[in-house]
Amino acid sequence: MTSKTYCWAIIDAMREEMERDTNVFLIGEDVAAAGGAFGASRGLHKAFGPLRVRDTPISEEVIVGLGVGAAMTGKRPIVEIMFMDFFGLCLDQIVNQAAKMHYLYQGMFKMPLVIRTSVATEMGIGPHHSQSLEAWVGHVPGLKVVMPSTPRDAKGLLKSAIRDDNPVIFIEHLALHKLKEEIDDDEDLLIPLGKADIKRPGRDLTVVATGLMVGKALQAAQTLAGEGIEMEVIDPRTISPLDMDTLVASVIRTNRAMVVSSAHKPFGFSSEVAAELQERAFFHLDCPVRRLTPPFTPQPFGKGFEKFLHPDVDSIIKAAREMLR
Amino acid sequence: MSHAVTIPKLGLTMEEATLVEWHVQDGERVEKGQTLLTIETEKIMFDVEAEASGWLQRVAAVDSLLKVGDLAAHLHEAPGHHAPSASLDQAPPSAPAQAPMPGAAAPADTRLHAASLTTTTAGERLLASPVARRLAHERGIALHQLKGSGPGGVILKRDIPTASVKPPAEGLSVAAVATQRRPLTPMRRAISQRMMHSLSSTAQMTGFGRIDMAAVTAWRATLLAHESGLGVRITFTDLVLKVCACALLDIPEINAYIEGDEVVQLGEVNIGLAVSVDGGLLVPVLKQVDRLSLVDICQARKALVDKARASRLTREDLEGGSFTLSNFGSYGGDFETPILNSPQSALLGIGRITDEPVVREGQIVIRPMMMMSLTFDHRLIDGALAGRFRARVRDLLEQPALMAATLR
Amino acid sequence: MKKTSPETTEKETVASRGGLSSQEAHSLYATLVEIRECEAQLNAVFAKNLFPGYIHSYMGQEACATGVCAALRSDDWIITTHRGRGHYLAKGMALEPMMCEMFGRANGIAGGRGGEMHAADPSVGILGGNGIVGGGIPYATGAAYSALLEGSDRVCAVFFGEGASNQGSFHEALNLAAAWNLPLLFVCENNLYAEMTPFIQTSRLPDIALRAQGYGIHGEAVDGTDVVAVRDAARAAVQRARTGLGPTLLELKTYRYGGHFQGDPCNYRTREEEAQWKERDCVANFRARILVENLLPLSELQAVEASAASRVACAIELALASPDPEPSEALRHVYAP
Repeated sequence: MTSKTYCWAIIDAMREEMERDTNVFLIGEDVAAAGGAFGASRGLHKAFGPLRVRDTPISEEVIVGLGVGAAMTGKRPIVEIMFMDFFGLCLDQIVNQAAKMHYLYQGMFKMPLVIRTSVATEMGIGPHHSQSLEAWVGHVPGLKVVMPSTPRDAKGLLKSAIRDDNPVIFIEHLALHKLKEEIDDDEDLLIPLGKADIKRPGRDLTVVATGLMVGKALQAAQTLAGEGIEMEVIDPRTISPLDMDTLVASVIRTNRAMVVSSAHKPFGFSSEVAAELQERAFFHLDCPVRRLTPPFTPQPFGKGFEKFLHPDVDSIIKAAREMLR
Repeated sequence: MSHAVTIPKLGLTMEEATLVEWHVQDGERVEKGQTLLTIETEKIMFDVEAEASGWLQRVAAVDSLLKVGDLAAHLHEAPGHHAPSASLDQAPPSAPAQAPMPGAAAPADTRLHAASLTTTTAGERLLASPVARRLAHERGIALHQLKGSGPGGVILKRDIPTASVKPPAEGLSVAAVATQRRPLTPMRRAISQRMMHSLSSTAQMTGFGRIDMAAVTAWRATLLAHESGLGVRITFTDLVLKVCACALLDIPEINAYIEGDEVVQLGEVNIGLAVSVDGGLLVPVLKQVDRLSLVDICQARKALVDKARASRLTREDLEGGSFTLSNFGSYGGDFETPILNSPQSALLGIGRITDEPVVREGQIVIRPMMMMSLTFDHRLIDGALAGRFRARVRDLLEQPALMAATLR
Repeated sequence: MKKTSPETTEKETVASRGGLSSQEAHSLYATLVEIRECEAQLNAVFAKNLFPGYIHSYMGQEACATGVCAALRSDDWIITTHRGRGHYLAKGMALEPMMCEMFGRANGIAGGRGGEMHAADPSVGILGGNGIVGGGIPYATGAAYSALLEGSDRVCAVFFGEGASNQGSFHEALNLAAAWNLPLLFVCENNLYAEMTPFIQTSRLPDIALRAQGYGIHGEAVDGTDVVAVRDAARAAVQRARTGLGPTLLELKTYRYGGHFQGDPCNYRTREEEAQWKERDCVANFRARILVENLLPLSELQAVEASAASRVACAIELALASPDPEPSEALRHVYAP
């Protein structure tokens, strides 16, 4: 067992998969010589050479496009789009091309493409580097979307994503890069996509949290335990396909649900979960499903603004207490 | 459409009858021709039969005197106007076993949408959560008989009794009060666990003392007179908090606790204050009371009590206490044996201040007296030490000027 | 596949331009005629209201697809546009499954799910058409990169119209292909009208081949009505790519007889212009050349024409008679297992 950071878990996942299968390669801006804009591909260029780890021009559409074409012709590309905020520049290749090749052509082509990208909410970088846009891609049939919150989850899910024959959008959170966890060195760690994880069991309230919100929900749960309130914290890990079975089973036990998300409520992930829960677990709900999200504004520059705008541990505690009145 | 069951005219001169007995339970399915009830006129006993099939909703009670043509009951075309008695017989053991599978929820539960489940007999909409409705339905309980404890009076799962409520026995003119059961709220569960843990993990003992509160009363009066200048209204609790803090500085062995094989000596004097809230008890903590002025203490206390009552206390507000104060006087208590707030080793309770006759210099005089109850963990604190602490508290309360000696 | 030496092949290519054997003439003519028949008969079907959806006619541009694909191997790849029928046939997609796909039938090559704009056949290197103008250009770089990774000399040709040359995807792909020296042919069929707007109104330079200079790669403008000229230019570009000399931008000047789609009244161009281009009809002119140079007897040409006409007619009949896909099939293949 070794203590690994979230960032190193991602590097390890890519390295292990590239060693295992020569068809796996990585392209993106600054991924090779610099080891990644955020250091998430350190050592790979040296280990695998300039063809398999390659720096691209600043051309998001063709970065994804190259991935699409290579995936259709027998390779397993990993392409990196530096910030998810940049998806507007390459949505056609993701939504109209990657997502639909297998479907349109009746399975003649597989699309084993992984698009790794980063979300930087609450880091005060500014309005073009602070959005959590999983709803954009979660809404497109044919894509899979993954959002790990821990190092072990990141490693296991990335390895599975690389081995998946479908296009997977792999969303990393920059603020989680330094998070550490013990990971077994020997294990060929594969965490299945589409399976949620109960990070903390509880009987009074189901809290569905993703990405950066998972840690906050766990801290809130610890405090509330002191008051006798036992929160069950579930991390879906995969946004699409969403493991609603686990969430519904939990709400049947607890009768109350809250979704905590970095993304806006309107048309967002939290709304999807709330709609599914009310449809599938209506007769088990003791109060409405609560969605805890930032208000519907862009993110201005600066940590002061971001702290105000985003749900934190205390707001989760407050909401939980209100729901249990 | 429902069928009305009315008192039949049995003879030319018959005008009224007494309802003697019902033969069918409320909500039960009835077939045409089945005997529903028995009435008694001046002359005869008569069994009234159902003229149609349906589900019975009783209207008239046993022993009531009814005129010919009066409504005795309804026979409805669909169940659900009152709880079907089938589920009363089954007596489900626990809720989860009865819960429908998620996928099956939609078709099986459509009958819950029947308007009468959502309305009181007066036709207003009843507010009840989905799970409450389902459980009430499964357990054969009429929602309109229940009082909701949720926000705005909503009936919640915890308001649904786990066993069906038995209707009052027939024939009694005064309804007996039925036994009810309801689940523990999370706060109540937490309190009960904490209390048991405290009692089973420490060797608790309580020692008492009597304090002459004349000096404190005068002290407070002075402070009240300067309320506008100070900006706050200082209470007895605030004064006692300060005195406790001084006493804890003087006798720091009280400001400690046992953890495993070690004695943890706390550096800060953080005093928890027991606050009664809706449904239970919370103990927010005032930090570093030894370094706070009376004004500070008063403001901090008020802020914490407000937060506690508004359910807005944070993790920090509840953690870090080294000693607790409980004021039973606020609910009329004199002395009690309070239970320690684990892991602390001591808790001081204070009672009412009442005028009592005491002996001073051979004379009987009336003094404002107050009892103090100090519960302590005898594993760490011996009786003598506890006595010294009580004595110190008493000295400071009876002669507050002593605190000035160590005032910085 | 072995790589051939750069110097010798460049010389060979130049020397053999314009050369045409009887065998080559037959092969080129058969493809031209098959595509022409297809377009002509489908227009008639559409006029009878028997065609589901839009038809984007390729009539008039047959020499472009035919010439370029004649320079490619079976294991090379092509990517095409919404107007892809000519390319499908020229690259070797079978006529019947293609026709059934055009009509959206269950036995179409993509099960009727792609329709006119989306047919593909990986066995002959066809990586699909596209409903997005310029949508195919970015992923052509991916196929080309696969060749680099596997160390083969396969190449990818991506077809697009002059309208797509104004999409951002065109710029990004050309830049990357040039920077990474990818084995790519960018084949721009300039039929002068992007949808319904004349190209000269949307671009300052009417010659797209000139843009190649901006990327540091070879660009060439070719008469798109001359199938041999197209073939020769494509051969040179393919050799360049196979020998590690990188991508080429070919601009084929051509003309489509139909509108952007069938039923387009073409108010944006004159009847005189259309008549002028029809005089340069690629099929008729090539036929004339074959006869003038005595490459094939007339009877052989007529046999080719008759064969194409009947095969296309049968394919259309088959397609019309074939069943629609089961509607519930729409739920399948969203994800690979």
